[in-house]
Amino acid sequence: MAGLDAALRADEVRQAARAWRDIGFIDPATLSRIEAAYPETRARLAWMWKALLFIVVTVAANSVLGAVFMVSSEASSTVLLVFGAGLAYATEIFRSPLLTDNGIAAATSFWSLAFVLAGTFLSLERSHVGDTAAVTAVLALAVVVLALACWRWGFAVYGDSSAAAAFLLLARPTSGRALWLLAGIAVVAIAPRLFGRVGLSPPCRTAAAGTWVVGAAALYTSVNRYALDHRWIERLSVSPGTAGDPSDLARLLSSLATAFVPVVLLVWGLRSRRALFLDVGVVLVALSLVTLRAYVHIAPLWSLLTAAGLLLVGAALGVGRSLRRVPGGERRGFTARSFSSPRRGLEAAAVVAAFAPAAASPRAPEPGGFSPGGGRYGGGGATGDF
Amino acid sequence: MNPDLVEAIGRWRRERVVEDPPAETLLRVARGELVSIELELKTLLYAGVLLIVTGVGLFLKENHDRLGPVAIASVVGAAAAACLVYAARRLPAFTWQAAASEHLGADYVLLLGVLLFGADLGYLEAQMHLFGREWPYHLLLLAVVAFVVAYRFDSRSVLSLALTSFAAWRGVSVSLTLAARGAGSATAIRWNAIFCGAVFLAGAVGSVRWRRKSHFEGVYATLGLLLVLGALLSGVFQWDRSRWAIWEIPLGMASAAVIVAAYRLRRPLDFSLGVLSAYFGLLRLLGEAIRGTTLLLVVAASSLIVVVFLVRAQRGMRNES
Repeated sequence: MAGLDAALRADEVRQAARAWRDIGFIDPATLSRIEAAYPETRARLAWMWKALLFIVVTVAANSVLGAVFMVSSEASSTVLLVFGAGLAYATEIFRSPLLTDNGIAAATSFWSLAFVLAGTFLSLERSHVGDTAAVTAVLALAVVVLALACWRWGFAVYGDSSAAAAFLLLARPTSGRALWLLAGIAVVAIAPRLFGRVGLSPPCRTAAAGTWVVGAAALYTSVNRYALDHRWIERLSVSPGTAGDPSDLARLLSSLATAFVPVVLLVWGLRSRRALFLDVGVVLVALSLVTLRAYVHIAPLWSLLTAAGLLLVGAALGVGRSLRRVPGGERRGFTARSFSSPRRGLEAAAVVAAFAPAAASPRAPEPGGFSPGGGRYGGGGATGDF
Repeated sequence: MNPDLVEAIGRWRRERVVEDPPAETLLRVARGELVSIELELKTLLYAGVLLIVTGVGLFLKENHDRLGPVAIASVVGAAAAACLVYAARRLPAFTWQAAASEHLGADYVLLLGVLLFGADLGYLEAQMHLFGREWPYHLLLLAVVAFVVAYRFDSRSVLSLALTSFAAWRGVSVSLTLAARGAGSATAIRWNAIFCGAVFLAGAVGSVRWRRKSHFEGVYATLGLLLVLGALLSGVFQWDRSRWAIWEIPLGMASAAVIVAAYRLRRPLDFSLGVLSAYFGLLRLLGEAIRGTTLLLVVAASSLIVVVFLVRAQRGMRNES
């Protein structure tokens, strides 16, 4: 969809310009000139509208499918495949750059892919190829159709899902762990070249970043000591019972790699100035510390959690302060200034999550009385525009 | 690097749509030469606050016999006071308007201080029974303290905490899902939720009308709508098949009111909440009235009508805004 590609690129520029207006980098008059240069070819709805339409279309599609199942004499796999094809056609219509980006295409594309994959699995199962072969075949099909859906319809999440399906497929042979290691290294090394490629549309570039995250996660899982000892990848293979215990050398190398891989990603992120690498590196450092805790009981859990929390708060405050104090507010290409619109709503989520342990009931509630136990409601402060 | 932005900014500079210095800075950002880690730092602060509060909670649970309640309460209270003092020295002076803070983490340290205060209060209540049989009042005390702190230091997150504590005090912290299963106090809890939601909605209106922290309105309104509509939906979806229908009427009226008000005020989030609750109420009604294939087809048809309504409403809101 050439028109869709142009619309998505214009969307990206317009969104960036609006964020710059929100943080005061450009004035409203400049924003108006930019929006005139990149005219809106289609309306974009706020996420809440999209979510709402996604839910309603989901109910509609599945209700029709349920009704067809009840009256049809056709095999369920055939019905699913026909329905999936019909929803793919609907996606072609609703994803048009001339129509509003309103969540309908997201729902029709999602259920199209789900029905096609489920229909394929059922038809393979009925043809007596066996569950194992059917799962493998559906995973292979998922890799292809999800990647095609990402490219054709411009939904980055399908590209990420395609990468995840590819790694699940690679886990099917008994050599799955080695394949995850090799493929993970390849993805981590190659995917960054696609992040800024002009020929790719914005969702495909986003999918490349998501694929990099999937690759890094697969690489880390393949070397993590806990995942090795508990045979996480081997359990996904076609014959999970045949995997023997890892050798002592494999355990030693795995322990070293568990510590080494996150550090490599962090250093790479600092040197290449990629926030994504830093984010993933920090998460993997945390996972490596959790892995360490699983094998070495250094201190009581409460003291570790409190110390880790103090370390994080102190590090964030310290880094923020050091970045603010240097001339220009930046150091080695990093800054604590924001270049995107203020995000709201996270505050409430954090409060709700944090409040739960603090508000535990001091004692059992009176019969028939109140039972306080921490708030479960959040979302205050969320904003949106259309 | 974002090639589309690099190309666009280069063109704007040549055509003098955007002048330097912002153009130069934005170009460096688009090229990946200047990277903002603001979100990362804030996420670290959030995670740090959560870890500390969880760690303190475990500490209280595991050590109260060994150290004694006075020592533990003193340590946690001192930590809470230190956080509040740290934040108070860095956050701007009181104003009824939004107070912009240049400090990255002071709001999160403030939140941590109030959370530690809440943990300390809960611990003291559990150990010393400060309020006796009226023990839920410690939640009201937390709500009042958090409310004052939120207004003094202009913190939306602490205001969310205050409102959540208030709702917890009224007995709403038990999930409305449980209430819908016909627990003994389900109706009382449901009415409490509606009362709390109404109070929060009144707070939203008042904050805007009297221009007192009008930027808090979103927190009040969203939490209020979630409580009111959630309570009404829990009545509609309750297990008791003899009484659910009564709740359809207030749900329909409340949803309609929210939809109309949100449409006029151009508020897509609230409009969506109203439509969603009305839609779920409709599904329950259809589920009781019709059966089999007809039900599925009617649900599909009504869903398509809702889709058309939403698309048209969205267009209307855009065109009239």
